[in-house]
Formats: sequence, structure tokens, C-alpha cells
Amino acid sequence: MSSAARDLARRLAPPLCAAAVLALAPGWLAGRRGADWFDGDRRTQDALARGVIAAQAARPAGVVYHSGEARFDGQSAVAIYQMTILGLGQILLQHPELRGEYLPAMRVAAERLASPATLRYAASKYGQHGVVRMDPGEGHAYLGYINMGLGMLRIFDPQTPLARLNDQLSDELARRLDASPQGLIETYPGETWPPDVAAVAGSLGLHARASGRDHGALLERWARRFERCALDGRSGMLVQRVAAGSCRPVDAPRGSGTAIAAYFVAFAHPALARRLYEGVTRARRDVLFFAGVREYPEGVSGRGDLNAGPILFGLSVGASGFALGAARVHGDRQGFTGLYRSAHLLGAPTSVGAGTSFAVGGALGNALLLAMLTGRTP
Amino acid sequence: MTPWRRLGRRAALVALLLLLHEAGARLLGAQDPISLGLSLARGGGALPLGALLGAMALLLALRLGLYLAAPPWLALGLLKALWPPRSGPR
Repeated sequence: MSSAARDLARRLAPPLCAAAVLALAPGWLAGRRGADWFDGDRRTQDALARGVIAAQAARPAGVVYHSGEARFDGQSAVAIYQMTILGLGQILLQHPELRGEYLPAMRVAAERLASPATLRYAASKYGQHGVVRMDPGEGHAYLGYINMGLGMLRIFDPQTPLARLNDQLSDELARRLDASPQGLIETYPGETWPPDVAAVAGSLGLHARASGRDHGALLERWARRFERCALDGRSGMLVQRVAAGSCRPVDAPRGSGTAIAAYFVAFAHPALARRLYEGVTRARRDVLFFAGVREYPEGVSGRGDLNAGPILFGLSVGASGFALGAARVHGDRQGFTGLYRSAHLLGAPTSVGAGTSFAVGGALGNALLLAMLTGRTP
Repeated sequence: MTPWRRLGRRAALVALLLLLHEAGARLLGAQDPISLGLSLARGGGALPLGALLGAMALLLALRLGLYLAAPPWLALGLLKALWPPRSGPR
């Protein structure tokens, strides 16, 4: 090699080396466990499950957070208990030998989930919680989250005393869903949120699996109306909120709502869930092996909300986290792995006691990630 | 200082930051930062809440540094140790 060539190589080697390492090492470091999560590795799943179970055992019943906002406190508790049951149940679908260890925690979570004391906000809006009574004309779509948890529990605990409530809620919600020309029902008076309705549909899918009842024809009718009314044709994303009793959007199509709906609807109507997931895929951005999901479509801006969480460069923590569950139930290994690397980098998983915990997630983040990282339909 | 010695110092610093990061993550993971943050926001005063947010930001900065900056920094150190810059007159 000539002296000039050696000098050139000597000058180019450091930047090339740095670029090559930067392109490969962070993705490899953050994604080492991604394949284990996607493939359902028992040890990996069980470590986070144990962390979530231990945290639940250390908390009293009722709400988990005390912000002074009854709506946030109640809804976050419902999400924690629902996602705990879904996460543990999804692991059991793959590793049924863990039933004896997980079922007691699922039962505790279900009792808390179904207690009217957990979401007092619902009673303050309707006069009574939907598990107590649902009057004609009332939507109570928040019950979709509760009913999903009950359905998943019932798959593994057919004799649960909560089976009757699961039947009762499913009958009431199915009647309301079928009667709506838009395929939408209100969550609270005057508030219609399509992602909540996706949870209602998902709960009917789980109820069908757990009880043997057939909601197939109803869900087929529902899917057509829901898609026509709430799916934005341009972006492929789900509109986050519409005016009650109509299809008029009062919020933009949003990544967080689309991703969680793609996960929920997978339990009820796989074809619609796939279309929702296509919207998520279009909103996903990949950078250096890491991935995130836009909260708003290109050209639309907004400030997000609690569902979206922090938004950075247009990508939201909520949309990206929910997309993990949607990616896994749709078998998208590449999408899942990129999203997992981001969750690993920002979530800071660490050992706590005998389990694993995402250090910045708290009870809500860890329960959500348990359900999303193990996403699987019966 | 020889390039190998410089690489050793870099590796030692990264190891120290890793230890610091692990201790911070375990400390934060043993709490519920959302719950802690909410209770501090309601009655703990601005200083403890700022300390919690600062600790979370520091943890995140450490992770970004360890995942994104440390590997190429160590790799460059290794390159210099294996292929030292030419010294003396040409």
C-alpha cells in the first residue's frame, strides 16, 4: 500500500469505525431481549409478571394513584388491573403450567377491577356504576376495559363468581353496540371515544371464547359501521373522539388510540384489527434500529393527552407502547423489535426483588408493558 | 499516556457509569415514580418534585450516553490502541 493510501485509510478509519459501531451497537444492546419477548420466552415473561404480581400484592384495593382527579385515579386503576389480567392470561395461553402461580393474582385483580369503588367517576356521571345497573340509553363504554379483564380471567377460571357479571355486562354491551347506527356507544354522557368502543368489542370476543356464546354475526355488523364511522381513510388511523350520536370527529386521528384499538379488536374481529394495524405501521418511524409511532398523522399537530403521554419529535410514548401489543398479536417481528428497543432504552428495565420492573414505568407502565409485550389472542 | 492505558481509563469510566446507572434504576424501580411524583406534586413542595424529575432525567441521560455514546467512544479508543497514530517526523 502506498504512503498516500495508508494516510487516507488512517484518516478515514476513525469516523468509519464510529459510524459502524453507532449503527450497530445501540440497537444490539437495546434489542438483546426483543427476540425473547417476541418468541414468548418463559423466563423473560415470568420475570416481569412476578414484578407486577409483587407490586399488586403490596398495594391495598382501590385506586392506585391519588392525583386528586377522580377520573384519572379511577381510569388508571382500571387500566392497571385490566392489563395485569390480560398480561398474565396471555402468558398462560403459552405457558399453562404457570396457572397455579398466576391465577390467584388474576382473581385479586379481577375483584378490584369489578368493584364500583375503583372507578367512582362512572357513578358520579351516570348516578350508578355500570356493574350495578345500566339504564336504557346509557353507554357505559368504560365497561369494555373491565369486561375484557373478566373474560380473560374466565378462560382460565371458568367457575369464577365473576362469570355471571361477565355474562351480564356482555349482554348489555352487545345490545348497545348492535343498536348503534355508528357502531359507537358513549363512554360517559356526551363523550364517545372509539378506542373505548374497541375495548367493548374486544371484551365480546373474549366473552365468546370464555363462555362459548357466539357474537360473530354481531361483531361483523359492528365492524362495518365502526370502520365507516371512525377510521380515517387518509391516514388509516382511528379518530380519537367523535361527537356523541354521530360520526363527526371532535379530535384528530391518533396513534395511541389506533394502536390500542388494533390490539383490543384482535380479540374480536381479526380482519378489522389488521386494517387498524396497517394504520399503525404507516405511522411508525424507524431510526437506527429504534422505532416509535407518530401520535398525529403527518401534517396534523396537537398537544396529545394522558393517553399519548410525552410526545417527542411527533412520536408518542403511548402510541409506541400500545403498538408493541398490536405488533405481537399481528406477528410483526421487525416492528415489534424496533419498538421494543425504544421501550428498553427509555423504560430502563431493572431487577427488583425476584422480578423485573421498568424503572420509570410505575404500576401503570409495568402492567401496560406486561400486556403489550406478551400480546396474544386465545 | 499510552493508547492502551487511555482505553483502560475509558472502560473504567463506562463501568463506573454503568454501576451508577444500575443503582439509580434499582432505586427508582423500587418506588413507583408516578405515584411518588403525584404525591410530591400535591404536597411535597417544588424541591422534592424537582429532585425526582431531575433523577429521572439523569437516569435517561445516563442510558442515552451508555447506549449511544459509549460504544463508539470505546471503539475509537480500541482503534487507536490497535493502530496508534504515527508519531515523529515523516
